Amino acid sequence: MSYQRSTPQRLELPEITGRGAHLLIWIYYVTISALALLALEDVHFPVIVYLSIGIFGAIWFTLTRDTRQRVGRGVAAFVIAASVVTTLLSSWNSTVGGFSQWYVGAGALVMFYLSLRGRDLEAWIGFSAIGVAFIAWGFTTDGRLAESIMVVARQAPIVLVGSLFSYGMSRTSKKLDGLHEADTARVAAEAAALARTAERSRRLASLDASVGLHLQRIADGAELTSNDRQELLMAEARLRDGLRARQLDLPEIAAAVQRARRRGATVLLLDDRYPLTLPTGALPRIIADAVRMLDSTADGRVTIRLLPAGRPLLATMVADGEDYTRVEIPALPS
Amino acid sequence: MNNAKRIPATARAELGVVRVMTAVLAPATMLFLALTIGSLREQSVFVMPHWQTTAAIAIFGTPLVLAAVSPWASLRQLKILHGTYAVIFSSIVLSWIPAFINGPMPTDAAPWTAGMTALSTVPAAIAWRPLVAWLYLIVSSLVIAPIRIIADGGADVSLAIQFAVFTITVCAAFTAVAIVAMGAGRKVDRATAAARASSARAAALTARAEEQAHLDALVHDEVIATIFAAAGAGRSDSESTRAQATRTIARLGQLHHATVSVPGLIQSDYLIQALATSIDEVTDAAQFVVTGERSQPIPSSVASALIEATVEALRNSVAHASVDSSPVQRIVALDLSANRVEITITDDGQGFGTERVMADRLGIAVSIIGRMNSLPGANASMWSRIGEGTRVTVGWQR
Repeated sequence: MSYQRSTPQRLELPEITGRGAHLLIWIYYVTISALALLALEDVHFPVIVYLSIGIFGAIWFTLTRDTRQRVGRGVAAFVIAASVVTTLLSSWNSTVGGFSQWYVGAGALVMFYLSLRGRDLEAWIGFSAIGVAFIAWGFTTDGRLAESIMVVARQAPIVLVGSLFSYGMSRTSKKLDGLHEADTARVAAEAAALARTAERSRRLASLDASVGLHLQRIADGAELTSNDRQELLMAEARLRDGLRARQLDLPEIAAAVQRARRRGATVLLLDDRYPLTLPTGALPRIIADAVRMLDSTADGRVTIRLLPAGRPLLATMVADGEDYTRVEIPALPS
Repeated sequence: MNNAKRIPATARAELGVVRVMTAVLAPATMLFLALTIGSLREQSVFVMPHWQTTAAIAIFGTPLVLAAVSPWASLRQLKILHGTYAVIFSSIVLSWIPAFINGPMPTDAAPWTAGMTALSTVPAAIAWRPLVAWLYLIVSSLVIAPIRIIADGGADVSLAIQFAVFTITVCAAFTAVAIVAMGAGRKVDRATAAARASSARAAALTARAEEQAHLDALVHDEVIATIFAAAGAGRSDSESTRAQATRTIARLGQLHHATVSVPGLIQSDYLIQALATSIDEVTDAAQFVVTGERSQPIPSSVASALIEATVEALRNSVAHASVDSSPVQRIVALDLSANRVEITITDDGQGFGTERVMADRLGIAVSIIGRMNSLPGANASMWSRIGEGTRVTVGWQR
């Protein structure tokens, strides 16, 4: 047995390049820029702060314009270079710590976003470059080296979280793909086995009810009267109906067919529609019309046929005896 | 057919995402611990004895416990644990206020608990609905302002407020990622369940068609041939006809006892899928609703009987419920619980009175009820009234 193979949806985060993510990014940008501007008295030259804010605007603009799940290499290179340039420009500008050193945290958050966008290695290269640039500034100061190291270290968890998260998500995604394959095969095999059993059990029960006793009597070598033979022929015809007209194999129709055959009519049931099911609401009308026609036929020939799908008619019923009657059931509700 | 609730998702991807975030939280917390050790030493004089130790163990230790139990915990348990951690974290942050002594602290220092809010906002995003997680983030971040003001004796109120606003925007990035990742997990779970259901349906249809062809051949070549030989050709007393009938009975018996490799027990999600497939084959106009959950497996013989009874009842409804082709609403409701599986097939068609019922309909009712009642633990009942519709209930209890 072959199974329909299905590809599961990958565990990806398309929303991080969506409008909601962009809105959050720009809210962050505006907030951090405002905090940087509020700390202007802690810097030597405000113009450097304005310039750095502008550069970060360009960084976020470039990142949000590239909406591919994995940021382009060129974009990543620009983002890293711009973050490092901002650090080099701004580090010597601040007179004290605090929000005047906002660009280190902002750079770390950019790297966090880069790692979520499939540029893990570049994110660490970028953060390391920012760290080296900032600590290099610390070396040039009197007593602010420890402060510079601490500032960089405090941002490391941000990049670490992004990196570990991306790795974990990719690993989980691969694992889920494997599980999905195995699961699908198992479920399909169980479904097939159960469907097979259900169909077999239903048909065998039906066979047992209709011809079980007859078969046993034949096997036992019982003497068959003409009545018995008549019943056997009825049962045989019923079995043939079941093969030729699966959707007409209903108790009401079967009973009416039997009555008609007993009266001497020849009945032919055909289902050329199967395996397509009948449209909603069609069956009761087919049953009613079929039973009516079968019960009103004394002799002659009755043919009840479900037509192939796509025809203007759903079913035709023809009684050809002393009178000729034809009933047509349209495919569309009249 | 209504697909709204027919496909159960196993939440495997969502669980995977939560486990990843739990695993990431632990090293992040350790890094924060390393960065906070200096502050812990310096600030011990500003808080009551033992508060510092208790707070540090709870804040830095709990994520380690979470990471340790995560591979074995269920999604629900993990969510509860993350929610508990978020509550513990907030309680510790707030408990700093009554624990604060010997103030004010130097202006360049702030309570160490105020510098790692993201450690609690991400677990909150894992545990609770997005709206609650966002509210938690805003409140947890804003509460930092009064704490910093209390800490430095109000020396720099502006900086305290700035810090709170800054915390909101930084933590928002992590909360957003957590919420998006959980959503992605749920989406994958739904898509996986749908793909699995579709594969199961295709496999079932193919298998049924193959079995039908096989049985058709048997009926045609063996059963009809035997009966025709006995009746049509009038050779019922011949040795060959008797032998043919015996062979046919034996063949049917073999088929009856032949085991198709059906597992003895099946999961309830498979029952749902198999039921959905079978309903589809009878009519495309029935609504299928699933309520409740069940983790315990179901014997496949019971599942098979429940499905057969449902199909029988539905076929009966399709054939009889409508008057003059007027539309009939049909609902198949599957109710799952730890100790019971119940299927109710309801229609709002013409119904029938039990005192004046067609033999065919009563026959079907009796066959459904009789077959189900013969299974251990199973039961079936039927209700119908003229003009009010019909309801068949089949169930199994364990």
